Amino acid sequence: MNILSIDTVTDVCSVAITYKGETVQRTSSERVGHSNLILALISSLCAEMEVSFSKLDVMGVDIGPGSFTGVRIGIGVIQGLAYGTNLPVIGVSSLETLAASQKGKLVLPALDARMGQIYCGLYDTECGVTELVSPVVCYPDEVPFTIGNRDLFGLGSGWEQYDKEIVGGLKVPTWNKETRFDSNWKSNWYPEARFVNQLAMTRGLTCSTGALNLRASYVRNQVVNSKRT
Amino acid sequence: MRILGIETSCDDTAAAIYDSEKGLIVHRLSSQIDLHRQYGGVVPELAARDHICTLMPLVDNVLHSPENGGEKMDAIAYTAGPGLSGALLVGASIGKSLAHAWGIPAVAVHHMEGHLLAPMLEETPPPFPFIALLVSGGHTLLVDVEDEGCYQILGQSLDDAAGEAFDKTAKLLNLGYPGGPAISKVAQGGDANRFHFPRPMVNRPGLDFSFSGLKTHVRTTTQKIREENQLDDQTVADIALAFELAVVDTLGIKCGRALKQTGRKRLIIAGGVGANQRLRDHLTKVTADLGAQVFYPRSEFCTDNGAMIAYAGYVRSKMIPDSNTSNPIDSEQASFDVKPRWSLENI
Repeated sequence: MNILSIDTVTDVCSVAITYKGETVQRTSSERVGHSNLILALISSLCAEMEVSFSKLDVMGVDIGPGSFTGVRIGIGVIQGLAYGTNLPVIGVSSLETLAASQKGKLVLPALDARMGQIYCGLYDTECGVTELVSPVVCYPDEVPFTIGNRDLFGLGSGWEQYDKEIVGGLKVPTWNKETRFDSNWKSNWYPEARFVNQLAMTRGLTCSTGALNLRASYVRNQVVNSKRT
Repeated sequence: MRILGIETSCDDTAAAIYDSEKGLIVHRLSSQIDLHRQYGGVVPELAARDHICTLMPLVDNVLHSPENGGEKMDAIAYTAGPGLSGALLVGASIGKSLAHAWGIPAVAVHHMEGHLLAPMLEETPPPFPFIALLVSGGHTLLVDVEDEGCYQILGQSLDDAAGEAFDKTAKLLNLGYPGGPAISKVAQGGDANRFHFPRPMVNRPGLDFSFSGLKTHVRTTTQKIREENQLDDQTVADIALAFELAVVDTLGIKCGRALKQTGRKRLIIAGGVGANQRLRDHLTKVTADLGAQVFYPRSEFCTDNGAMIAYAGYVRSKMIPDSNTSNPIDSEQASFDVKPRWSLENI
């Protein structure tokens, strides 16, 4: 399956093409706005790999949660490109994309959701990526998961600011979470388009949809007057 | 040349197709009024969320409409500003990437240029030059339009836009949202002799506007009457009428002054407030007294729409034929950055 995916939901934006089994990714963390970069990244990667849109089978996109504007830029760009080239699309979650970067672990990806909150979910990457708890938005000390005795791996910007709150709030019954956890997370980890490709290829074309049906996954749906009570 | 126009600057999602030979082919619009009504104004994040769900199906609708007959587009125009950043980015990302996929130019359009060119979509368009009064929820501008692309701002609101004053006054009087049509409806039953509200800045030279003082005057008047438990339906109607007359009169005085000052003989009215019938009647009289003509777009093209963006995109593409390439590897040409604040004089 030949696929082009983009990820624009965090400060880092990326484009990846998987063509005839080879995956190449271009990433930018320049703070000039994804709207200034993403189409140029796509064009240059297509030119570099000598892949035109007509050689693709599907397009993929990270649909969030993440920056609201970033989520919409990604969806808008893929909608326009896929509609214009009659390609189907596959949308995947940002947290699942983060989790897909790990193998054989229980992963708790967390992205900074602003207003003192994080987006987080729980994934098992023992065999592919299995979603154990779908994405939620919550205060870091109120992560609503019960974790068993397995080692847990944390990923994403949410861990940078809130590592102690997340660990302190987790419902972990038997092991000493503080000592086990201190070195077991990475905050400088972003969702990347190559993992969007990977997830989309695992799902296959049967899970694709038309560009008109692509929808964002904001997770935070209360956007008017939402303050901690 | 056939051009797709996309508009998402505020709370209307719109798409249209304009053909340089055949004129306007088709236009469609999805309004978000019901979404924002409960908040008494536009909530930017909700607006952007609605645009991203609505725009692509709307574009699909106009492209597959019987009016278009399966014709291919030669360019795509999208509103790049001014407006709400998140809302603008939806139209920009879809417009630009669709153009990229089709290998056709994408044209970034100034929303207010779209408004002031909207009368050109009518059967008898005004010849250049003319004065344009652009009155909407976000803008109140008087512009000297010498020709396509040659705009000089003669005056603008120093605070609230006229449409904003309508919305805020309607909220104050519990008349609902959007305020313009609500106030006009109620004002029909008002007594013009009961209240007289000030005409802001008419005694000063110049063509700038200010509507926040008028809004405060309405608030003070309303509060006083409310405290006396006298705010009945008739009083609300009387206040609404006094307010509407004050706005209409102020706009009329400034338009008359602009025509005299520049010697222009044509005035065009655009923007959502331009659909106000009392304003239309008054400006018809003001221009007739000065031996000038007034032009209005049809009411549906006074408010935000895709047709004016498609047309303005056509005008722009004529002026800058090589504004874009079909293969935007160059980062500047591939950018679809938007301009929430963008002066008409800096296009």
